[in-house]
Amino acid sequence: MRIKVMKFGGTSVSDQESRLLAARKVADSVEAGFSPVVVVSAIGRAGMPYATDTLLNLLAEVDPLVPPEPREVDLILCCGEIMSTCVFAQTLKSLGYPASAMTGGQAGIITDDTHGNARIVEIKPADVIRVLQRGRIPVVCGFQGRSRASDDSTYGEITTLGRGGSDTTASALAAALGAEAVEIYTDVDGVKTADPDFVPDAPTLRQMTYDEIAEIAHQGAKVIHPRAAEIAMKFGIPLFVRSTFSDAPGTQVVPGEMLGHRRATGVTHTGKLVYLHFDAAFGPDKSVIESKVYELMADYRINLFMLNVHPQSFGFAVPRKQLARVKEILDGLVIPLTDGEPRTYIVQVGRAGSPEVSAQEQMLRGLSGFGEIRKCVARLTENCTMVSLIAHEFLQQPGIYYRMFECLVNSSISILQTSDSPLSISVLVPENDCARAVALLHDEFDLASQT
Amino acid sequence: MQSNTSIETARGISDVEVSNGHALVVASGLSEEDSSPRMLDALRALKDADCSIDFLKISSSGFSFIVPEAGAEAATAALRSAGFSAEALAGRAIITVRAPNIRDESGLVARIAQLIVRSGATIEQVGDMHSSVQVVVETPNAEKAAAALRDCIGLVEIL
Repeated sequence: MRIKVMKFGGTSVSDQESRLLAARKVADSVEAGFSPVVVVSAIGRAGMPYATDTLLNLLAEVDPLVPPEPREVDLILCCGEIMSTCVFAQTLKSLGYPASAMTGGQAGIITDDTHGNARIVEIKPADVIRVLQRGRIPVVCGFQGRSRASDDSTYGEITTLGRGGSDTTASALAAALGAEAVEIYTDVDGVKTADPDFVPDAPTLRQMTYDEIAEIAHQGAKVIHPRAAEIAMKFGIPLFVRSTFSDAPGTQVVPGEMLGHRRATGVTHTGKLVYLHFDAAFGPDKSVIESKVYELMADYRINLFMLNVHPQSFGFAVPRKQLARVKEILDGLVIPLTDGEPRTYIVQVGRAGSPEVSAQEQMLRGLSGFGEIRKCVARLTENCTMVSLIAHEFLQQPGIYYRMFECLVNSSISILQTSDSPLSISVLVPENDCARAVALLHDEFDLASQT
Repeated sequence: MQSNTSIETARGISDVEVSNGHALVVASGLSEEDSSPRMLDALRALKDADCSIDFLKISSSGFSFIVPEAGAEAATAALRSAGFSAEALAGRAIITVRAPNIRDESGLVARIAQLIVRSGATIEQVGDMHSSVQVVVETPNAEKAAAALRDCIGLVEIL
């Protein structure tokens, strides 16, 4: 049996016309001698009747003061994929291809018990194989699984896999079934070298490595989830990103050794960020302050970007949507130090102190035992975005940073901070300059000729 | 076909490696008025001296980066020739903390940083990619920091 896993995202199953196009891709693979296993996402994107966000809102709207429990959130979220699966199986049948809809649990996808962001721990694909052996096409719900049986649950609980969960389902099923390939179908004809909104003529990459596609996703491109790339890489499964709406060959993802030459692959941009720079005459107290700030950011699950440390300061960027939370946590935070001469730090977020910080400071000055009161001001640089050049090995060449700075600075784009890894170099730039920065770097590294 | 297999890497920290033999180069000589053109001067000097740099970080008065120890002298000489004060601090280690899917594990980067600082090491630079976080510390403290991180391998509770 030549098994191929074909995953169709929300836009590919959003209406009957799209579903027919997707179903014909499946039919073509049957005619080509494959036994396809189909994975589908929920129908449509945010705002549509059966989209994930719409279902979630049904719960949230009941009473904003009573947050829904993760178990029920997972149960309602799964409905979107279940409906989509049934409708897609019916579409295949209408074309004359027998199909069976299956939930993640029925397909044997066993996860840990973390509701909302579960990890797949094993797959028991016996029932999927049974469906294939009967000459039918299994149509499996993406994004969901079932936890193991436990003292609390005889049959396990329904779980969801978190962001990009359907891609993960597809790769994981391909691994468990020993599939010849996994194909991720979307509304673009493969992975582009940059966001086409910023670089209209950005070409589609014909080949890239597992690491490159995972990094390009990590740095903001919405192509495939890094978890799916990681599974495909671990099990050596050929991975393709293709369009439901065209016959273009798409992007083939291959092991690194198959693309030995050094090259830049793409330019990405990551959302709206705010940079916090903590400055004070810390002296030997810096590590205590730093540790406390990191501890709180971890406890409250704040995502840190571009962590940056200097002898008398440190800083990091956070997503703008988490800034209010960061302010709640840090503004007015009191850190008393009692080793040696007592002294107390008060954290102030932003140049202008809030009334809370002033009140806190006044109160502490009126009390004994806190010693010298020192301010630790976190200066904010708002409206930033991170632009990244993805370039495996190429980055080891001397002068890459110079080329990036030269092309941006000479076009009057401020570089507020930098960060790098073995696979990418990122610069933090004003959000207003994001599109220009992406286009300039795309030109500078000649990505238009990169396929 | 593999019927019962471990599919995904567990969340959190899955491995920790230490690589020694790096130097931290710290340069000063930037001011707010001319930081961008002066930064370009510095990077041009490093390029002309054939220096490959990693972990570049900018502050209000200067910048710093990591080079292999063997390349530290060439880097500082290039910067001095471009009019910067520069010193190389040898004995730096890069700790690579493998932690898949970091962007979706909110708080994990902060927890890794906290564990390292709490172990007594001073973080000098940080970088991240899809499957790992890289942290530069002084070599004498690297193994202690790595041990603190290794204690957390497989511990979902650290999130």
